[in-house]
Amino acid sequence: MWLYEKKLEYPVRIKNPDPRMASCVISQYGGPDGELSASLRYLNQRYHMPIPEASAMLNDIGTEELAHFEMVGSMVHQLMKDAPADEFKDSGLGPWYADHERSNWPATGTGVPFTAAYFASKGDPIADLTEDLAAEQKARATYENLLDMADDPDVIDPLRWLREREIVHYQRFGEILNKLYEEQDRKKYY
Amino acid sequence: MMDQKQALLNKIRAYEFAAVELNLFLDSHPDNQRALNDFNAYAGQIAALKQEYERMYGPLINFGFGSGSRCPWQWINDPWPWDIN
Amino acid sequence: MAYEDYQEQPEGQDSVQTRFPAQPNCQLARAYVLDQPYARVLSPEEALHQGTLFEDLVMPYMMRCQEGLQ
Repeated sequence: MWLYEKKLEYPVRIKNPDPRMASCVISQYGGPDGELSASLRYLNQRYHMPIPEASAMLNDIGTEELAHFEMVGSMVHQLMKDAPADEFKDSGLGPWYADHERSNWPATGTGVPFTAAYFASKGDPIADLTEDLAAEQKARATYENLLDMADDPDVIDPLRWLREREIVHYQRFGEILNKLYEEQDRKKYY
Repeated sequence: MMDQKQALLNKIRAYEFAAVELNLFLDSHPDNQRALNDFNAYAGQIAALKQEYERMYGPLINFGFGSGSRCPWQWINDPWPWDIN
Repeated sequence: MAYEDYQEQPEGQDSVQTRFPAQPNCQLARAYVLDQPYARVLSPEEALHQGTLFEDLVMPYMMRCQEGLQ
C-alpha cells in the first residue's frame, strides 16, 4: 500500500508565474514520456515479473515516480497560480484557462489528455524492461528540451534534478535487465 | 522558528534521499553488505530525526504510520508541499 | 569486427557457436548495461543536490548556447 509523506522529494519554489512555461512543463505531468506515464508503466509491470529483484525495482521506482509526478505538478501549479487571466489569453493558453482555470490536469500543453496508450505492459520481462530503459531515455530527453527553454533558475533547478534521476533509473533498470537475461539462461538448462 | 523547522525538514530530506538511492541499489545488488550497512545506518538516523520533527510540528506521514497529533488535527495544516514553504 | 574478436568453435557434437572472447558472458541480440560497483558514495547533502548518491552517475546536461546553434 502507499503512504504519503508531507514533503517534496526535492523542493520546488517558483516565485515568478509563467503560464507559457507551465504549458511546456506539463508534458512531464500528463504527457507520453512524463512521470505519471512512467509510474503507471512500472506499477503495472511489477505484477508479472519472474524474479523478486525485478518486482522490487519496478515497485520502488514506480513509487518514486509518483513523488516526481508531485514535483512536476507543483511546478505547473506554481507557474500558473498568480498569473492573471489576460496572461493566459495573451500567451495562447486561453483554451487551457477556459477548461481548467489555474488547476492541474494530466495532459500535454496542447490539451491532449493522458492515456494508458502511452505505456505498455507486455508480460514479457525482456520486452518490459527494454521499454523501461527507453522510457527513462525519453524522459531524460524531454527534461533536456525543457532545460533548453527555461530561463528562471527556480525552474531550471528541479528540472535538472529530475533529469539526473532518469539517468540513475536507467542504470538500475539496466541491472535488472541483466538479471533477467541470466534468469532466462538459467531456465534453458534443466 | 520557521528556519528551525525548515532546517530539520531539509536534513530529513537529504537522509531520506540517501536511503531511497540505497534502497534502489540494493534492489539490484541484494548481497552487497556495505550498501546494506549504510542503508541500515540511515534508516536509524531518519527514524530519530522524524520523531524529533513530529514531536515539534505534528505528523509528517499519514494514516498513523508517523506520530499522533495534538488538537485540532495537525495533519491538515498549511502549507502543503506544493505551495512554497 | 576483426577475425580475432570472435571465434567459431564446435559446441557439442553437431552445433557450432560463435564466441566473443572479449565479452565472454554476452550474447548477440541483447542490450547490456554495465553493473555499477558500490563506490564513490556522496554525503546525503551533496547527493540531494546532485540528484544521486553516486558520483559515477553524475552526468550534467551541457545546455546549448542561447545565442548560437548547438
